[in-house]
Amino acid sequence: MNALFSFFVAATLVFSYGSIEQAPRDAFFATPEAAVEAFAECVADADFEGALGCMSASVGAEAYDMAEMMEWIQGYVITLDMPLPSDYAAYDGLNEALALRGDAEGIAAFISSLLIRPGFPDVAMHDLRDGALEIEDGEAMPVDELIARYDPSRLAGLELKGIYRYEPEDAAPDYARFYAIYGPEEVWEGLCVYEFEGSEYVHAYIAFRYPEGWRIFDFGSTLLRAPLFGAAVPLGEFQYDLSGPDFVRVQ
Amino acid sequence: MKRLFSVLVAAALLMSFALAEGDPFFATPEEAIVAFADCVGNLDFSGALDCMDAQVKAENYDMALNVARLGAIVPATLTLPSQYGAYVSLNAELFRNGHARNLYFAITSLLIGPEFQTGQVIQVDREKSEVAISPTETVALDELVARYDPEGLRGLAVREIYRYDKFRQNEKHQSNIQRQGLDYGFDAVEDYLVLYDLQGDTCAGTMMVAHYEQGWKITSLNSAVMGASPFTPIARVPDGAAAAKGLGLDPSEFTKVR
Repeated sequence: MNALFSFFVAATLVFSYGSIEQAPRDAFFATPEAAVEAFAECVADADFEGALGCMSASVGAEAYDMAEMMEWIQGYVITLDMPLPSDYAAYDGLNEALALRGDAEGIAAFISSLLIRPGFPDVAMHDLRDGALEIEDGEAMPVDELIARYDPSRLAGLELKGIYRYEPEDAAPDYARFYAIYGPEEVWEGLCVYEFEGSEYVHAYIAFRYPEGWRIFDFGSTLLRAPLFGAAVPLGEFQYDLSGPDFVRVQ
Repeated sequence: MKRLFSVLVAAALLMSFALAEGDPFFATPEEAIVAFADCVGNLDFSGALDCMDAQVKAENYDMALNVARLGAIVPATLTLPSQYGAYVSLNAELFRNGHARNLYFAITSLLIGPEFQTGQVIQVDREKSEVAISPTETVALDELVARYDPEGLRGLAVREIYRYDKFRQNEKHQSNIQRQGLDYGFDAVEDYLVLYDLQGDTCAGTMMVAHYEQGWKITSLNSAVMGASPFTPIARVPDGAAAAKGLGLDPSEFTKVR
């Protein structure tokens, strides 16, 4: 009897440990700012599982409308990660795995832009010559050094300095396709300013509100045409003036 | 003391059960293939992905060896160095996505048809909200969604498995496998032609199964050496001989293993 009791105690412990580990994937946020703040905290803590949990892949997988997507892009493109119809719950896990690629690549691009250099996460082929990789024109870096610079403990120095909402007077956002394809109840676009190792960076976000709360949908901005690969941009190179009337500091 | 021992034993048992269930390894390649097909046949697509090697590949990924072997990188799609354990979860999602696409192609091939997946952009007729799924058949978008009903995959099961032997003794091929394996942690890869039963039809597909220290995992639903199309990992065929012939392969180069 004692052994049976012990077994159940152990089982409870093990399964509650499992659910604690999985908690980030189940988290929703009361505001888009809270989602972005939690994301920034996860990246600074090198908790990338947690950072992925701030994204909308799992909930988006359940609300995707394939026919609307095909209407919008006017075709079927197998090389895009077009999810399967969410009409069938059996596809939820598969659709989540498809959506997580964009999220993981976006997070990797954000990390690379901070740890290697801002423009590093591009789609060009960088060749290896004599043991060194071309990082940008005229600059090469030995692979060992590249790997050393990826040390995630450096991200502990990432500090979120401010969150801005973009509210242009002359351009009303058109989110009809987001509502039709992904089913959010509200869309938010904003910018974060970060400080990292003595420099300031801008990073753009799109967040969706679902019935359960907010999640980050993507990095970038439809309004600002900010980089969609997820890379951070040095504040000095950002083409907009954050002190202008179109930007509202919310945090 | 006895109670503590029982708790520890029970916890260890449960923990190993939980891990095995989420990321199982298999004693033989055939077991991995059968488990994968059973998952698809039970509409457990997450389970099917767990039969594949994203997690173990991410854990073992060696960026320095990989970059040296490939001679180049594309930073926007870069897998991060796994010697920093924090990156393993990100890398696992990137590898899992490749597997998810493999499975997505297989599902589309079986439910919609292999001709829907040519790798080209297929235009939607906006006026009629229709799309051509083959040179001879056009369907409304609602009908396309209806055809994706996963019940059409219910009961998929392995009928026969054939190992492709042509390159097993080929030194150059084996040397390439070993070099790739150093990047990702496997020490062998076997290629298979698999015949399935699906609701009265015969289907065929290829598979690559890799051996890791912990056991076998599926690494791809497309055998590169067998020249299978990445867009149709599994498709309906008249019979097994036709499947081999369709790939331009000699049936005598296969060994039936199940």
